[in-house]
Amino acid sequence: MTTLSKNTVAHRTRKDLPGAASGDLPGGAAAPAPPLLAVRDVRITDRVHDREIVHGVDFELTPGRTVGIVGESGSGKTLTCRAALGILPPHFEITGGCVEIDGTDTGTLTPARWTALRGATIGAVFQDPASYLNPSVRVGAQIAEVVRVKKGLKRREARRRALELLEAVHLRDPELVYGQYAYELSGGMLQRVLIAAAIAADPRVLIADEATTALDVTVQAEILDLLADLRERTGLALVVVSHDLAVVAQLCDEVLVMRQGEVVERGPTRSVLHDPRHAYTRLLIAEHEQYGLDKFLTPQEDA
Amino acid sequence: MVRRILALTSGRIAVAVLAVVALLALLGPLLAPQDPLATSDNTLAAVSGGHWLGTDYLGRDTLSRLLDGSRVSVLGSLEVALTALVVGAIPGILSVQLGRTFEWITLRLADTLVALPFLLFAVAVIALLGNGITQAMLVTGALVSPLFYRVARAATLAVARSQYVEAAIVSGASTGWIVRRHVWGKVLPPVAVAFAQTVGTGFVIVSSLTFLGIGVQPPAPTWGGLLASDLGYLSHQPWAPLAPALLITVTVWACNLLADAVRDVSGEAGRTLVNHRKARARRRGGAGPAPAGGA
Amino acid sequence: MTAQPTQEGAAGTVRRPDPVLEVTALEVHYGPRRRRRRALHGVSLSVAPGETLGLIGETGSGKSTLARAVLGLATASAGSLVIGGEDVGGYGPRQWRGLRRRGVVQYVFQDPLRSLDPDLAIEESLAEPLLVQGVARQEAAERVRAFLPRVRLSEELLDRLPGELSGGQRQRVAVARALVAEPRLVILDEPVSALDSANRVQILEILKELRADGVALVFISHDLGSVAGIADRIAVLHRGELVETGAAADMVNRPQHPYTRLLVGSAPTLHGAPARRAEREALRALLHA
Repeated sequence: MTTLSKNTVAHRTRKDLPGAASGDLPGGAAAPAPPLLAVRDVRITDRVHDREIVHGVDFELTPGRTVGIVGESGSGKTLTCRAALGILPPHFEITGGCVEIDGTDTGTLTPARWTALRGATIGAVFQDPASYLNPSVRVGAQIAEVVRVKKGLKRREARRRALELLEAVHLRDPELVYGQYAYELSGGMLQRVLIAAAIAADPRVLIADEATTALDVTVQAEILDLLADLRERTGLALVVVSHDLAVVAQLCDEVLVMRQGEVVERGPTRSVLHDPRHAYTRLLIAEHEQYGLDKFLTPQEDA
Repeated sequence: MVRRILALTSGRIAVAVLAVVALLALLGPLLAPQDPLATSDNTLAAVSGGHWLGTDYLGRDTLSRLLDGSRVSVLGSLEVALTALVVGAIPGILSVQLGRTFEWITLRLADTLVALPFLLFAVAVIALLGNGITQAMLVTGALVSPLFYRVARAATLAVARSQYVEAAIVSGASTGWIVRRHVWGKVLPPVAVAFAQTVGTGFVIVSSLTFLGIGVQPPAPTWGGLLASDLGYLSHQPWAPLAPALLITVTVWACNLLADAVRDVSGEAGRTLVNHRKARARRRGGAGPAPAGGA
Repeated sequence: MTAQPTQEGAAGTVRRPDPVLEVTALEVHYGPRRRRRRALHGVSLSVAPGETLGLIGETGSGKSTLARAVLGLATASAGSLVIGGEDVGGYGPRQWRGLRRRGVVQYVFQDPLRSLDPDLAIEESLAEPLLVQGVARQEAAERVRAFLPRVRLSEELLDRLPGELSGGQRQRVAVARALVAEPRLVILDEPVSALDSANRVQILEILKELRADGVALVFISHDLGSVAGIADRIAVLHRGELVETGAAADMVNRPQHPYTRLLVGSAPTLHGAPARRAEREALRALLHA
């Protein structure tokens, strides 16, 4: 169970735009876009058992691009995400490499600067949306709170902004949803609310860690469509983490396949799918081709 | 189950102590060195060669009274606990399995029993059935039974809603099979703890009823009765309550220890514990089998 | 996606022997009288021996209710239910138990950790269906041991507890438990969705082998994609009604009902064209209209 509450994402700081994270490039992409998020050979160690769990993960993310990480539970994909967000569980530590967000080495950040960065530059959604919402506060008010804290808006403006956000995640009746409690919403709606909260402070990177795993397929497709839509409209860069190669294949430009803390395969999505090098990747692909929908689809050389 | 309990140090101690107590209950009256009811002028005597534990306010030998009283005390509290177990736990389990009507009736009965004032009810029943230790203990047991009812029902409810019970039903298992196979093992540990507690409180109940003249009649000794009368002479013999108090404490403690042991060895935790021991023994014995192949 | 014409008649329209399960116009309601809701409406389907039916439905579609009705755990308010040639309409608890004891139907739950008694050794859990049927202990133990290789389990696991096994091993135990009594029909509720790829493939291979023995399988899932590869036919449940039934290949390549089209269009694939968003949008709008 994760301990990160919504409050961690929307931490209480009034001064929300410190120098490093100031956004003077609002989505407009310069020609050789510098990486928004760079994970450089990150190694993570469990201090209690003194074991290295993640043995060097390396990727870069530029605006409007999407990196996918595939692996089963225990492969280290979630730890890598948490390292990128600066929210590793207790006893876990980055023992090699570094995470750079918008050109800043996060190893040098003070906790306050980290807090300012999260939400404003990098946001995240996770598998179990209900556990990230306070059950006794209306969901709209929780989004408005993020807006007020992170953007310093007044109550009324925050409410208006929250409604805009709920509309941006394609919730059918934003006014209605704003006044509802978490238990009144379905899993797909909750995940939309969480995405709305995650993008409330206009982050430029969004990490989706198994964000669609617990959902029905049609709802999963809706959420994936929404992420793709946000990416196109706002130049949001995405990290999509899943145990299912097909989910990652829907959205990502580049794929990392992880197993037991190791990146066993990486490359542009199409080349990984068509020309897998590692036996584990081949297994993942074979599963879909033998037992999945792909059994009936002729492999198309280019999509 | 018995072997697993005896594999635990605490289990062995508990069983040993309770065996001694059981022996006392069986042979106590025969072991008593003197007549427990014979009074003498030597009242409130200190410990001596003639009276190992001294004498009471009527000059009766304390050791003889303790030994003689052990049968009634032990049987009395056992009777309370067993009655409560039968009257409480079995309907508790069945209330989940036998359908709505039975459930409703037993629930209301349990509520009623909880609401009854204990002493008044005891006196009323004694008045109806006559004064005797058996009647008194049966009444007490019935009054304590809601505890067992609740405990057994709660444990059964948790099991009855589980998928493995549903899986058994789909395989064609009968209610009896499900209770024996899946429910009983889960209900036993909390019921055992409740039983040990009740045996403990049984001693106290026997003594408080004795104090009121219900159940055991005054000259006949019980552990609780001894404790009560010794307390009245605390200023003359401050050490006197020690012997009966110690007996009661040790017995109750052993009961609780046994209950804990039962809880520890039953269920998943218990099995893992025993398996660990086995694995360790195997390892010590040399070439053990390969560890669990996890995928 | 190209709608390639499949070999006509090869998959779906073979003459079948008598069905193991035949559901006709089934209605199931639940809830107290005042707030009675319809969970299933006019559901008809049949499963033949050796056939695998994929039953697809999302949350609230009624797929679990259908499974429970077939298992006698939910009562039908109308329609008929024939299991192994026996009309079970109006069966009481006693008759249901009799039917179950004959070992016609078995069920594999979604979560093997919760469907195996945590206090019983694997051997005892596996033997339970046999013992319930009145098989002698000795014979039951032998049959359990003889069955283990088919689910790739070693005898070493027999005296372990469910909690001491890996997820994949546990699911194989759950499958073995359902199959050891040689049922004619097995209903599996999302049997692979909690497993990783290697274990998923393994379970699916085991199930494929079973078909050769003439066991009928009903494979319940919310994801058409996860069932398409193993099912002969697919039935799609939507809001308590069966909207479409057909051969697996036809359902994937030529879905008719908008909901089936949405399901197929939503299932993530490796090689499918990624630009189907507009189509999905249109279908969603159509279904919600």
